[in-house]
Amino acid sequence: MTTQLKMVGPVVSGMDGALAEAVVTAIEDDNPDLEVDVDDQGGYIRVQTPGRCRITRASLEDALGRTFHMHELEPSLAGFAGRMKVTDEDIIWYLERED
Amino acid sequence: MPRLSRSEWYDLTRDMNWDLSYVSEDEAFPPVLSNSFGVPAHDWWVWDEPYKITYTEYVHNQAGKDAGVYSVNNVLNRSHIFDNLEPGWKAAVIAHYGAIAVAEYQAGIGEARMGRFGRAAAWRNMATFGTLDETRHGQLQTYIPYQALAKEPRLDWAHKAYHTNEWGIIAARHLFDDMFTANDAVSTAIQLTFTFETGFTNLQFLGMAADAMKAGDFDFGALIASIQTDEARHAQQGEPTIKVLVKAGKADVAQNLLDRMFWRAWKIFALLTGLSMDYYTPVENRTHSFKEFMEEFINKQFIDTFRDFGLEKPWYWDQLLNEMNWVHHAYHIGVYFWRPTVWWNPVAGVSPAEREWLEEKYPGWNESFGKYWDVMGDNVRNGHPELTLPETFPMVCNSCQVPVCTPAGYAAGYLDSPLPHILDFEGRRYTFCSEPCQWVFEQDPEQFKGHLSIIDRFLGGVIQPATIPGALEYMGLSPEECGVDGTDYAWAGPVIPAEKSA
Repeated sequence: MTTQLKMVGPVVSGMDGALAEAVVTAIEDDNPDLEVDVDDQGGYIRVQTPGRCRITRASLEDALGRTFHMHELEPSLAGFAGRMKVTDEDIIWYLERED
Repeated sequence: MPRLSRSEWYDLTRDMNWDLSYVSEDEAFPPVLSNSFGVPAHDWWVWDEPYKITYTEYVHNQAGKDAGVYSVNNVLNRSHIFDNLEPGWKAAVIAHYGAIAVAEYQAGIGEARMGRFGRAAAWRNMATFGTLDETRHGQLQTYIPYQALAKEPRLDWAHKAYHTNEWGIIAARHLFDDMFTANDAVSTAIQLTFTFETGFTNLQFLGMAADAMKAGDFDFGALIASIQTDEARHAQQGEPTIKVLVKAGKADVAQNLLDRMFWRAWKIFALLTGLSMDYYTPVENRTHSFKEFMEEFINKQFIDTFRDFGLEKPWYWDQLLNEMNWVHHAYHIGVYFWRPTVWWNPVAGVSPAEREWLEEKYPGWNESFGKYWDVMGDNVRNGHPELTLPETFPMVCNSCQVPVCTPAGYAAGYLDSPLPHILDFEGRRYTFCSEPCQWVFEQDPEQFKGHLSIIDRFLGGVIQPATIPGALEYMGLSPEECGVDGTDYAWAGPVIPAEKSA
């Protein structure tokens, strides 16, 4: 049985480049202790951290330089790895099972 | 005016659950349309979607998404982009529209059924958004191909395909009727939104979006990536449904529903996405192989998620890994050989550079599948392209409705026997391509036993005259619509002059 943490996080569409870059920056800011893996396939960009990945509205606003509501992420959120929890202030992707 | 944050009023506006007094539960939620699998009514009311959205937010987002896709389409229409696409990419796009567009409207029927017969108000709310999503997808994927009808008349298969008995469409219809057109709400949430949309649609809609951007087809790339953002949201109807079943001690029900649809989805995606990624997409534009995309989106991303709910890999996991090495290579030879039976122009995709790529991604390809192409190439070079065309039809699986390719799997060293799987049931003999396909049939024989495959129809006298032209007419393919080699045999190299004059 392996206990290596599984990678989780959003898969963002490459159509809105500014938002995609902001997502990467925000996830780096919001998960300071985790290594952020960015896999840019052009049509989509996979942004992942091990086990748990958080993105906050505040960090996205900082990265974009404008006000932002979490639901505005949807037009770029083409998929994600892990399960998802959404509040007014953040989104968390996570997996619980360790084996 | 003070404003509440969304989380303070969301549940209140969403939850309209009530106890029935004028009618019985079965009258309001007939099992054939809803099927609680024995979970009591109130136990469904804890159903809570992980991906929350209000109607106002929904409308705002969707208007923006549509504006994005249509504006890309408007700009690119003027640049004659379709004329400049490679023949292989055209094959992938024309196949996509026929196989997908009207199926989106049908998925809307499944979403609408959950919108009425889902077992909790929160669920019915999400499914209502899902119904609108699928309607949008149907509209987009009929509108956009119609813009290029003057350049490729068979783009009207976006609308026409599901109104025909073309063999690939019989297979797709058999799958989708089982998954959502004729399914109950609870099974639809697990089989359509979870298994199909959380899992497999990523291959065709995100994997192909990556390839589209590299192939210079921004129109198609923007379209399918936009669609997938809807899928990512409404696919989340699966998780809370599974959680209710698991909590009620019915994980086995969820597992069974998943196992059945996971295999069925695999077979159809191997046919559609497998060929598009590994043969039709120009080799210089390929992001990954089909097998690599399967490993990324299914074997890792999807499996991690459903195991997190306490479910396990399907029992046939090893057989899936086995087929990932070879089955779509066999399908491709079949589709190319029987190309008059499809509405797009298949390309062979086996020029020297492409064979090198295939050998790298699928070690041993040249020694197994390459040999069939050697023979077809010789026939073309010797001036006998007619020998690369069929005179008979293959056997078709009574479950997935795709031709049985076990001899090719056996010859390539992946199967122990070239024989199909046979089941005699109530006086009729059924043929299957694989053990899981037979297992799917046996899970619900009442559902499947009356269906006639295209070959059953041919041999049983439904198709008249029982000839290849008769069958093509039955499949809705006029001579002008039948597929031909997409590169006019350029892949085989020049015809050998001496042979030609002999």
